[in-house]
Amino acid sequence: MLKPLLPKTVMNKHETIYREAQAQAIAANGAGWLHDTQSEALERFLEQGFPPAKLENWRYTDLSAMAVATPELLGQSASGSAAELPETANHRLLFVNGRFDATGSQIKDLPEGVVLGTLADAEANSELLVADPEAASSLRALNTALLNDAAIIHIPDNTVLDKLVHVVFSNTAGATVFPRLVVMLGKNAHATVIEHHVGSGAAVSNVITDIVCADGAQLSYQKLQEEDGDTYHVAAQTIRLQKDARCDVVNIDLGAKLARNDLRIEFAGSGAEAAANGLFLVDGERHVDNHVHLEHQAPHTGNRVHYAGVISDKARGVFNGMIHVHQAAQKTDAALYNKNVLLTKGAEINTKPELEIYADDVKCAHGSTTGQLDANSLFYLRARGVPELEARNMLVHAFAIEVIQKLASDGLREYVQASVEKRLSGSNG
Amino acid sequence: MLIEIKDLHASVEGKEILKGLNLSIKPGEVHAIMGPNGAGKSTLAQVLAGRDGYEITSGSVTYKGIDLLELEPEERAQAGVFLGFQYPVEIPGVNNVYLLKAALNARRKANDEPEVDAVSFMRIVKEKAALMEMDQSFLNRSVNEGFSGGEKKRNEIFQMAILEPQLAILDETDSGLDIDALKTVANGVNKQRSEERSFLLITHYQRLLDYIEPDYVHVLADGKIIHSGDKSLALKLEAEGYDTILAEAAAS
Repeated sequence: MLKPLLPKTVMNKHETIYREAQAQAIAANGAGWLHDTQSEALERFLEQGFPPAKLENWRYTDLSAMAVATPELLGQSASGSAAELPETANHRLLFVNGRFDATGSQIKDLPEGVVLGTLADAEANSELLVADPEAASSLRALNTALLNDAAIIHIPDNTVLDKLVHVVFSNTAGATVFPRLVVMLGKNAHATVIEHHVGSGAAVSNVITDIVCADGAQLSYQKLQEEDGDTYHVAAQTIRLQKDARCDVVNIDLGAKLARNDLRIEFAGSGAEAAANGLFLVDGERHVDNHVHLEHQAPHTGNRVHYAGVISDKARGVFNGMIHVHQAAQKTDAALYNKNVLLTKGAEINTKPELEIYADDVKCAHGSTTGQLDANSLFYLRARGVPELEARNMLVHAFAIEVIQKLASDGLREYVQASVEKRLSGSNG
Repeated sequence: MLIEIKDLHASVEGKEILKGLNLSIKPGEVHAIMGPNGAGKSTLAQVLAGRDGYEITSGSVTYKGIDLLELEPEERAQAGVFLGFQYPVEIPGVNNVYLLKAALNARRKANDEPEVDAVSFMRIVKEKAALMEMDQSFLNRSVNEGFSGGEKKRNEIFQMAILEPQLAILDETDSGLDIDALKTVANGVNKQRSEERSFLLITHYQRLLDYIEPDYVHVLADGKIIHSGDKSLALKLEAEGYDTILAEAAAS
């Protein structure tokens, strides 16, 4: 038994708070069929606590401060108002401090059978919601235990949803939220889903996203994390791909004091393919950790993973990428790369791409590079009259653009570019 | 004087490269600096543009009455100094037009002029691209990425045409060019010659000077200008090689 992150005596004090929070969540969510699952999940969480730093997976990311902040904030109520959202041509599901906001949401002209909704729209005993995978981290158990709503997206077989779905989780100061997003694409269904986290003021956000793509389905799934600089954000995304399904993932981390993403893609059916492009911009004393785990379980599956990290000041980035090719997964074609640029002396990255291969006829590549901005390029731009700070930002932007270009719409690309620029001009001195 | 270089000494990693260089250029003049490899030609260009890593141990450079060596590279560019690179850098992800606009606006801002509007800017860009016989598609590509040697040099002169410097230092702009590209580049330079604009052409070969006629030719050897003359000096160098001049200088 590993030493828990917080001493037993402290956890005992927190227990009452968690039990009280669960009573409130259960009262709020109205999903009676889920309550047993939630109770069991709470027991598991209380037994395990937050993942201890001794676990290999958590070696570079210390959740002690989050483990203290979570019960503290659970005991308070959130304050302030959520950011205003502009009118949109897209579908939008808005959750403010974990609760569905019908006024700020926009859903119209849905093709027949398409569900864009909340926990109330989920099928009773929905497999994805009641599942508590044994191997899942205790953070998932905590999310299940305390969820008071969920975003549910279901696209039936052979249905194409043209307009993108923008799921916004907006937090105000003091919020403790357990967002849950479930995306199910039927056979040959097509959709684009943006999971967007925004915040103002310190908060705790513990997110679980479960995605299943049936045979031949195609999903573009893009997560954009812009939490407040004092927020703890931990998220796990599990994507299961059946035969010939394809998922294009973009994962952009611009905010939060501490952010962790566990992206797990399961290639369960032959011919399944995925691409995952990530960008993390870390400055100040912030910490961003991306874990990418690719499970190739079936033959003829492929992935392309490319994560780019920009780290400055005393910030720390972590990247851990694993391609696991099962014995049955012959003809897997996989590549995983992480490249980083350190803008200042105190910045740090811990990167580890890994392969674990049990099939003998596969093509797998992996690697990582870390460097500084190219001095020749910087001088060239300055020699043309571009001020140093602007020149540096141009080069960082050039580094990030490969990932930004993968975003699903012009509007989204412009939005992210502007957000990146805003953050760069605030640091990078 | 537009620029006055006096007794300039510069070292790289403790090794002295420029050993007392003197050169003055008046507005509108075209000066060519020739010399054998390793004489310090490119060092002079880099020092004037403000590159890191060169230590100025003594001497001065006065440009339009101010101490050029005190300025950051971007401040020099904004004051009208342009360096045409011997090896233009490829910068994937930075768009050509975007760079030009940022550069032009930085210069205008430094001179308290308003930013260029999008329409006028594109008009200037198109006009100068035509002058340099550059394909429009070129403009929206990343800076120098995947350009041939000739395209890179043409792009340098194109940038110069847009930025309209007062002093253009062209470092081996002729190297690696075939005769057609050389003519295009020379034509671009000649079209920009004016009463106010001066050029410092740095070259190893006389060939460039067949197309761009200099007012003065200087021979740089071992960190100093050892001989100056008019354009006939270039022809003499071409015919006799550097050895004769170097020997004459050593004997005098």
